[in-house]
Amino acid sequence: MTLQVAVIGYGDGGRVLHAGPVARTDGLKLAAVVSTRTADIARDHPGVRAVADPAAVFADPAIDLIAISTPNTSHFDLCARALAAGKHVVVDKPFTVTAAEARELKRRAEASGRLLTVFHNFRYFADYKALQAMIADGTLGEIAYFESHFDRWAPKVPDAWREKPGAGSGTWWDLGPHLIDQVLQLFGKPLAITCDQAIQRPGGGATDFFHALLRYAKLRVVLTSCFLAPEQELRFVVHGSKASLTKYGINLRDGVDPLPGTLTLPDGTTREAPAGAADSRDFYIAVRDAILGTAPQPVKLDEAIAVMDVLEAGDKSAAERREVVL
Amino acid sequence: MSCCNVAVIGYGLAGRVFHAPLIAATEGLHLAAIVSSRTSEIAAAYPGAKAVSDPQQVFVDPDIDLIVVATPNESHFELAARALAAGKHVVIDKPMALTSAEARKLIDKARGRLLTVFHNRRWDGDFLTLKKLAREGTLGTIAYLESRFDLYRPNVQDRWRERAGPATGTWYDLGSHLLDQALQLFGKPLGITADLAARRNGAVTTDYFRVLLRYETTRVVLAGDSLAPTDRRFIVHGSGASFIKLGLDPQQNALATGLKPSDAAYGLESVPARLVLPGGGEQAVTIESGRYGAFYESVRDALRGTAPLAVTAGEALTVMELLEAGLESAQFGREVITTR
Repeated sequence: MTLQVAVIGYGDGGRVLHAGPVARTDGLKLAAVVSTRTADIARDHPGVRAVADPAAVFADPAIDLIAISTPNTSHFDLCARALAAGKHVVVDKPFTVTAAEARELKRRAEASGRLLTVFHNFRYFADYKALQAMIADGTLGEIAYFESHFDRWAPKVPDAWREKPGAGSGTWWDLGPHLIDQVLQLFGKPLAITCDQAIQRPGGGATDFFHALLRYAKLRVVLTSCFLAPEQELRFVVHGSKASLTKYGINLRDGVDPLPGTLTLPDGTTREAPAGAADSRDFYIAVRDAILGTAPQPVKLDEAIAVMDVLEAGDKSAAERREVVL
Repeated sequence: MSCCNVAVIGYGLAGRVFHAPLIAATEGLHLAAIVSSRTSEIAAAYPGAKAVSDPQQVFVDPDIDLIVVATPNESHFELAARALAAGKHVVIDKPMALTSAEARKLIDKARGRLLTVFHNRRWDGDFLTLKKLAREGTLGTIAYLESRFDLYRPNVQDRWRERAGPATGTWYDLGSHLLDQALQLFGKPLGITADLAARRNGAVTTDYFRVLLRYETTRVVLAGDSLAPTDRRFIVHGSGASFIKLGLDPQQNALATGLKPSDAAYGLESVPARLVLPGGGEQAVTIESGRYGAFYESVRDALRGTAPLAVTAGEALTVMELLEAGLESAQFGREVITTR
């Protein structure tokens, strides 16, 4: 059985992260894209229907799954309408712009009996998979410190909704969810968060820098993003009782990571860390299998809600300049 | 011409590795006495210096002009106060005292005498290089600066720096250096947020710190972690370039292994640094030689009246205030506003 998929939104996210992988995944068919970028859609996916109004795909009984890749403030409304129309739903991160909205969507998804999940695709990237394996197999030992970067060299502020003030805008809400979700997967919920946010670029309208410290009993986690930093610099720094890991270069591509990290052992010697490999279809393969009932849901709603709670706590911490207990 | 006779109190790490050899290497300063029970070590290393056991002996000695307090932090205030009362000029190893209140009292007592603090890491080669890159505009507007002092020491040692008590632990020991450097580059921050912890098995004082200094748009992170291998030293992101430097300045090791500041190899940096330019291109940076000797040259010149003192007591007091603000921030889990 092939599931018919409609993607709403055809910006970079919709085009590269959703429509592309959906079209390449066995058992899924990209049936429609909701966007006014009809020429782009025709070029990338000849024969796929382009429609302007999401109501058209909600009303289409042939559509099984809707992927939402629109500005963050529209996530709640589009998710709610898709669920009401009996569709399965994938929504890009952040889930919504408030944790209350996220919890409300969970209620509606459970009532509808449909799958609703959030696109925390960073779980499937090579650098994270290698890291996760090194923690799971004991290579790193007990972790004392974990630092995760999503830095970008983007000195000019583009005219984009993400860069303007408002709910769910700025890098804390854009890139923060990826880093938070990974950490919650690895270490669970922290005791507290201290988050600093700033607008560092001239003319910036929304947060373009964050530094969040997540406090656990002994472990410390730092999540940070700076738009005036080179992208090939630090990605992960991990200090464990058996080894430290330093990994450079964020890698969002398929295949084997060309820049594996370096392990430093307690005696000071170093060796190359194992490299991970990625396939950008993995998230949608997992979604397909969950809808078909052959595998569990990839990103559970409670996990996605936990990310929302950390995002909100980070905003509160930054506004009040204090640690917020979770 | 010798301007002054110097007595060093304390012959532990600070006295033995830093102060005595740097003083001995400074033209115009004479290492006249060392207060310590390690008499045979001192006689072997400095045959021209008296080894005495009681600081009182150097306070009452009219030939001694300058006293260097290189003892555990808890005795800095008392020894410096007694030296000043005896009419001596005073150098104190960092941190200046246990509290900013003590530091202020010392400044009051100094009146007319030279009082300074050994913030020697202003003359780290990598810091001098960074300062120059910042001043010359190579880095543009600095958005982020991370300054780290990591020494992998997973086991707690029985030494005063690692025992419980005021002004112990790595925040006071190493944080004082990093704070002084940050103040040199950016001045006083608007606020400070500190996370301090004792994380090693059996640790009873801070062995981990991560401190964020907030400026208008710039952010500075000072960090030290006893569970991290020495790796990154400076990470600086500016609109003009990023500056990345790994490894600690070599002068401490050089001095510890008996190298003299006049030796050609002294202060030579072996770890390369690099600039990352907009667009991703990289450029190697030559790190200039470090020169801790400049601290004592400045003390000498200030005593001779030929140059202003490099490290003023007021600057050292600001470091003390920020160390305390860090403690307060960590204790209450909130940012402490540092401007008045």
